[in-house]
Amino acid sequence: MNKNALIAAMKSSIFDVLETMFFIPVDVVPAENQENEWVDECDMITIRLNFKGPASGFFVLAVPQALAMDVSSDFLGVAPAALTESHVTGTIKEMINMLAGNTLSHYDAAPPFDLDIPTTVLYEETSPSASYDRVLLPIQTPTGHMMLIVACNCLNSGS
Amino acid sequence: MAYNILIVDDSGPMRAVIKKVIRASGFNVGTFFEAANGIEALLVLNANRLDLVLTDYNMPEMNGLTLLRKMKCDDCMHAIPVILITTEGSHARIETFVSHGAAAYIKKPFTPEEIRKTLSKLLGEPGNEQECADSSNEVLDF
Repeated sequence: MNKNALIAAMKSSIFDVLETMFFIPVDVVPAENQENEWVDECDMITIRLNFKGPASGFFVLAVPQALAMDVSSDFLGVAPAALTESHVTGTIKEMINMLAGNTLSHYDAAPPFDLDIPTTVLYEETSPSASYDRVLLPIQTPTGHMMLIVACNCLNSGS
Repeated sequence: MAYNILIVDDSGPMRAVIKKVIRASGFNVGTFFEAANGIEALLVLNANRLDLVLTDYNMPEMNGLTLLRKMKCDDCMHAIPVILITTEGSHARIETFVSHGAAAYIKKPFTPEEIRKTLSKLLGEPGNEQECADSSNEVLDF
């Protein structure tokens, strides 16, 4: 996968999904060396979604608990005090499902990618490995920030 | 006429949002039924009278395309219009949905207006709903 084209697709999908479906105004900020600054592993809901097709890898969406509850409350029209864990994780899983599908469609609409089912993981399980290159995009919202990561087994920097 | 609508999606939040949007659009809904995958959907379809099915594509146990194919092979279910609501956006997948008889396709993320427009094409405008047409041999523009 071409890294620059993937980043452009991720940005398009972030704006499309979060603003259209979740009514959240967002800004995508540069991610250089900011992972440690942006991520508090003890406080995150982290969801992973694998994909395969012309390239294979996975998406990760890491959202602070408080922001996840705000987003879920607004999305479902349920008061925060009435939210269950299922409401919140279900909402974030649906968010990553749409981000992943939209990103891959923006990247290349022709060959179909297959998406797996989103699963809850620990953020540390998404650390870089020798098998995958990663792209990290911190997403700033009015009430907090979240992180979208794409890891791929054939990411190359191209024009 | 009050419509009985089945929503099939493994995401509880998404089922809740779709219901909310349809209610807000003013359609005369009798009962919403829900299922988390195609297998559950078939159980619901066998036990109830449904007028419309909205289904996701990517679900565990049985995906939306397999559900669509099974419905089209069933004498009692084949005339029920099926709308795919999914993140799947590849041209090949959309063509597959159309060729298997999907009445319409809505890509996630969607606006409430997209849901309202698609349902209006199938059911008539809210407040002026018509009898569901037999769409088994008809592919609508979407």
